[in-house]
Amino acid sequence: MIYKTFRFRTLIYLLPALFIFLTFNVIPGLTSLVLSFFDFSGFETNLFKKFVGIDNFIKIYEDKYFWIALKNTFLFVFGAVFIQTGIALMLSIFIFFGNFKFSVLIRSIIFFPCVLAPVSVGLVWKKILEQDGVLNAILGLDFSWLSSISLVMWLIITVNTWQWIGYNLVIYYAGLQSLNIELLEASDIDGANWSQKIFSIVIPLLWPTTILNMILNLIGGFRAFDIVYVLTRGGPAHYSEVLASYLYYYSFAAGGPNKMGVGASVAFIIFVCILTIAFARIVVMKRVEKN
Amino acid sequence: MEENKQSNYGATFKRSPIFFIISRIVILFFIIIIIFPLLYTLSLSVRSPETVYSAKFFLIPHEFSLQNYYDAFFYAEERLKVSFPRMFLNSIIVTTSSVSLIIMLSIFAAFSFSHLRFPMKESLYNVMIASVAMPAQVLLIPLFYLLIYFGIINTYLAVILAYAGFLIPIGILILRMFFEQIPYELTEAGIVDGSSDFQLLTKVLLPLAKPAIATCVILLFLDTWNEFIYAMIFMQDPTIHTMQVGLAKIGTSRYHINIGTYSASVMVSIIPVLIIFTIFQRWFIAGMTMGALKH
Amino acid sequence: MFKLFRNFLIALLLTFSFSSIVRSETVIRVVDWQSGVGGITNAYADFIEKFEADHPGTKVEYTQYTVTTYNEFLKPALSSGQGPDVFAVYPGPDVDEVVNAGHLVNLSEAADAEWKGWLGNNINIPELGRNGNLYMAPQDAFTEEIWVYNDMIADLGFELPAFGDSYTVDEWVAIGKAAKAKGLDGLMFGPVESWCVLDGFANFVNQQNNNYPTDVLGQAYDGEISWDQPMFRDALNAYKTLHDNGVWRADSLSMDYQVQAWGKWIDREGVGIYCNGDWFISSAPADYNTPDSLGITMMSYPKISNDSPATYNKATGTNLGVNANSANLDLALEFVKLTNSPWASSTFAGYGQIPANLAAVDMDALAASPNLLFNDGIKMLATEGRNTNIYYSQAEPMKHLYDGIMEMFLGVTSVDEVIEKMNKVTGYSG
Repeated sequence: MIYKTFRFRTLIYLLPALFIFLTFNVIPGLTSLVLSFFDFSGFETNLFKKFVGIDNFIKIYEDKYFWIALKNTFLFVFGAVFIQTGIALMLSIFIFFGNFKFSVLIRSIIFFPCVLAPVSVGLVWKKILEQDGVLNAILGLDFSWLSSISLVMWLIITVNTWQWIGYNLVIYYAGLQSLNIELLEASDIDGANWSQKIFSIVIPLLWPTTILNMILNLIGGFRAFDIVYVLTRGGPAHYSEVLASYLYYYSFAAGGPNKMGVGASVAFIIFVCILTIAFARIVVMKRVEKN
Repeated sequence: MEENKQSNYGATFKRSPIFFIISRIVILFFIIIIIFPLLYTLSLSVRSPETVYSAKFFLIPHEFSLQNYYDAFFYAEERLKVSFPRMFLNSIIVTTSSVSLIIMLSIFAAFSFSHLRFPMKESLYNVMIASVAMPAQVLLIPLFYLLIYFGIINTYLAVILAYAGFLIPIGILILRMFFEQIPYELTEAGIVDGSSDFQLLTKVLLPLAKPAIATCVILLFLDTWNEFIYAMIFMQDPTIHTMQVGLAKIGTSRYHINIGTYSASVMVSIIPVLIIFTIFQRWFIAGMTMGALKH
Repeated sequence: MFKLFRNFLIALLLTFSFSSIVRSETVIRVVDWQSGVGGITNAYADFIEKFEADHPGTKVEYTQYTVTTYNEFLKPALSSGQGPDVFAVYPGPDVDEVVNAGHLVNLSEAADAEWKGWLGNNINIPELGRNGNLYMAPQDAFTEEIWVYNDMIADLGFELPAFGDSYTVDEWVAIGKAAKAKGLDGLMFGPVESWCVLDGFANFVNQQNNNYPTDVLGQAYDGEISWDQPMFRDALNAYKTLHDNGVWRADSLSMDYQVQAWGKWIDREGVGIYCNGDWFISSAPADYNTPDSLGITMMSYPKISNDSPATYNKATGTNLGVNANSANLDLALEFVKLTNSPWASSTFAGYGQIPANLAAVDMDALAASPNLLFNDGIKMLATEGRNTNIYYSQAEPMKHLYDGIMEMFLGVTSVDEVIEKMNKVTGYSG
């Protein structure tokens, strides 16, 4: 931070973005949060007709599928934040330091699934994971992957990681490009070997990039809807629901509950979760700075 | 430039055979895993409709045929009332406008977060991050009402502004982090010269942040290109459908869509992107290496 | 930087130039969720052509959505007052919500004598109206049942039942085992779509309904009678038997009906397709639907026991309602009236879609088309037997029943637990 004093002209930089953010994100968001205290199906012209207080929240508290969705969401986010980031970190280090001749091509290939629509990714993987699909053919099994309660969430995490690793890889690569090369050369003089270099120098230096990737994956993890919906529709029997898909089920599913108020309260919960994590980040940062 | 850097680093790692072997194995493994489903889709799309379900080694079709592509184009024209090229154009318009808008606004806003001071800065930052996590469906109805109120529903602008609303925080997030990483000495030099904050931004920070901006552009491009819900609901006129909406309609329709036809549509949606990506990539790589810190 | 800015300006200009096309003619917007069903698409093309010719200066814009995305479109459109002039509503609980929100015209009052004559008895169909008034105009009708490939059945060594009869649950188990030995599925089943499960359940219940035609399932959903009786228990056990014996593949639990189950049946991976209806006559494989081909047989749901009475599911498919707030109310009503005319019914029939409004139509002429499945569908529609209601509006109990049955399939819940939960959810007291 350069300018210690606050001058009004700093607001000029912030205001255009802030205006759009407030109008097209915060206001609809706040409306949704308020709507979580109402009961509405989404067809009425006046959405605010039936005030029900915290009934919607009680409803999801008592709903066992909500807790399953919550657990699955945290599992999914865990997978995205740690596993996906970790693999991307490993890949970026290998590519960057490994002296590959076609490193651009390799990175493009890994990045390419990001460009595919989640619907396409879901449909193709669904075909691969079918009972008579390619995976079973290769492994020589006749197992129903997507109907297995214990495995289905991990499969979703795998497919999601498959798609988005390139995203993290690009960010990591940008971070590696801006690394200070002198430190590495200095450690050469000290006679460090490659694993020491990686673990003691590169990875710590990449810490800010890692944090960035983790935050992006965290956000993406909570928002993820398309991949779950296309692969399993939240099935079997709601065992692979995540909060976003469960919200969809309550709000828009054809012939479903049609209780958008409940959907809004699920959104409320998501918001609270992230806010908690975000503020926790500040507390942790302050502790780290003290040390 | 990149070769130089790589060989500088490479030199320190070349001496280790273990590293060499491990890196080759790991990368090869991942390449196969990433590429297999893509090749599978390609293979599905060039099979004749009768032999769609069998192939040698899962990938090599028994019979080559472009029938699926004809079917896909026909389906789009007849049933969806919009052609593939038109859908592609729509996607391009929406994506480039959104990304341009978001990048511009994010650069300025991120600068104010990283280098300037104003009240409630961190709280606002946290709210921004938290708001991005809201799934799209939640904002759907309130946003719809809002866009009608502004009278822009069923136009490109509706979707552009909706995307801006939830992607600006991400732009700010990424750019702020990169701005803050720029070493103090460089910016200090700028202030000592007596330049204003605006000149600091344009003359000092922006050139240095090129990799970050390029990264941001790519990520924003992805988020807007792939977005489907808002595109479908806010732009219902078939002539302005984007690629994703078209694909989704093809993939979930009741008409028995042969997986071959669907794969063909997916390939059609990918190939232009592939071309643009290849061209854009060189520019991007060059930009990144030029912008990286030199010694 | 400035290049970006310039690009942005160009994009903005393009945006404005491409958007909001000004029209000088009246436009009627018609929307439904039958995306891709060939018969309906083609029939509507004809309806629109005729309507536009009869009403110069009017244009009809017909958009089809898919079942899964329809509500995402309809809810924002209706609640913001931007709803289409004519639209379908997904049958079941959704109809209640839309009617209560006041978006639909009361057709019992708005229809003229000619129209009412065409509708005949359809004006009293419970699922299309509320409080004795008709709100949704029926378009196509269907019987819902199981379709089997005749050649596969013969191949496995079974004989087809007489027309109107169906196999028992035990016979299906035997068929399933025989099919598996040949690498086929007994039945293709897509339970991810809840109605695939609930409609079959309703049929099982109705077979044992000693008080027919009283709607015992409706009473049970309302908590008026207990779920703990043989009628419901046997229905659940029938499902359990079919699933546990592998009549359909384990993967079915993650399969949807319209794309996967139907698709796989078209690709001949299974002998029969469960919970299929005449709506797919126009999409059935043509090779099996000609007078000299081996053919497809329609048969009702599995019989719980050998002497269960003939029980059919018959219902209407897409139903169109008229937007009460439409700016072109009269024209919209005219259009919907056109879709209920005898001419429209013949048009539907010509495209392999069974029309709902047969009151003013020559049935014998209809049942003699070159489309075998279509003829069978008409025959089935007219066959005597118990008629099962499949459209209920008690969303909560239906949701719990569906979840319960799926968990029963997964082995997580037992039949007793499902029954217990249903009693609790419907508030049945003693």
